[in-house]
Amino acid sequence: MSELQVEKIQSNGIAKSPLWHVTPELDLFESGSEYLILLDMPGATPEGVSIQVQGTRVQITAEQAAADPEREVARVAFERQIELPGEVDVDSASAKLEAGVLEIRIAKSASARRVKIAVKAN
Amino acid sequence: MLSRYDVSNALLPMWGIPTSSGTNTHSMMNRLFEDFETAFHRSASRLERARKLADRPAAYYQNAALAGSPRAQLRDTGSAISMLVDLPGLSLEDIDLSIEDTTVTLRTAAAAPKVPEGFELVRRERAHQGVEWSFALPYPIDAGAASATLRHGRLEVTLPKAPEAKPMRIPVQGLERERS
Repeated sequence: MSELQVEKIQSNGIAKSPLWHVTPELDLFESGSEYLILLDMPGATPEGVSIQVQGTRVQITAEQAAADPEREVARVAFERQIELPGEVDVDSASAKLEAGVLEIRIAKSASARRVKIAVKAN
Repeated sequence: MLSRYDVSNALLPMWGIPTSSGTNTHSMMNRLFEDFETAFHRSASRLERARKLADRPAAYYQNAALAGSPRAQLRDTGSAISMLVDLPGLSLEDIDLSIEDTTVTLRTAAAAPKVPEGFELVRRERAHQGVEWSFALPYPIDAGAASATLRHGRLEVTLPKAPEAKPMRIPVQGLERERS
């Protein structure tokens, strides 16, 4: 970001509006091969979202874009950590943000996958 | 400052107290907040519980759902009332916003609670119930000029005041000689 842009942001009041730190609620789902996390992050934009996966720990941070500089309402910084129940394949993580809901998908590592074993009848 | 809302009150930022408006609007804003509070928290015990949960503003914001209310910020911009309501996961057809006289009503359909195909639920925290929320504004609104936009899961509502409710500057006339 150029200096000019930074200045513009500071002068139009966005940077001055108060920032609250909020722990967003989430839903966690699992299938045989992957985990799905849904987080409520109203007002967050894709540019403001950061997701880090380390081991089984997923760390999510996001910031709201100011709705309108003239509104002078407080902005929210979302921050959440979640420990997944099993090993994951870190490189497989993908995410999308839609209507203020962040959806993260992470594949389970090969050893943690649930495999159905068919039992043969004699 | 506000009689019922001292600075340490956890509810203050939740209601989006205007930081720049003059002290003369405080009694009006108080009335507005009281209306909000009544509409939001019909049960006093629920409000108390929400207050206990709230050791800081963010915690209150976080726990607004527990108090049975949508998360909202409200601001008087002088010529309009500006409202921000968090409605993550909802689409346009889920939202019904109406105004009758000075009463604003917001109804939302329940966000789809369904478990995605092929998945099992491990943990659920997100709220999935619909909202029916109604409150009275302290001044008449120019309903024809009201507008609402759904952006990134947030509803941005602008309710312009009716002409008679807008602040007006009164020119002062006097018999004193004008300064030369």
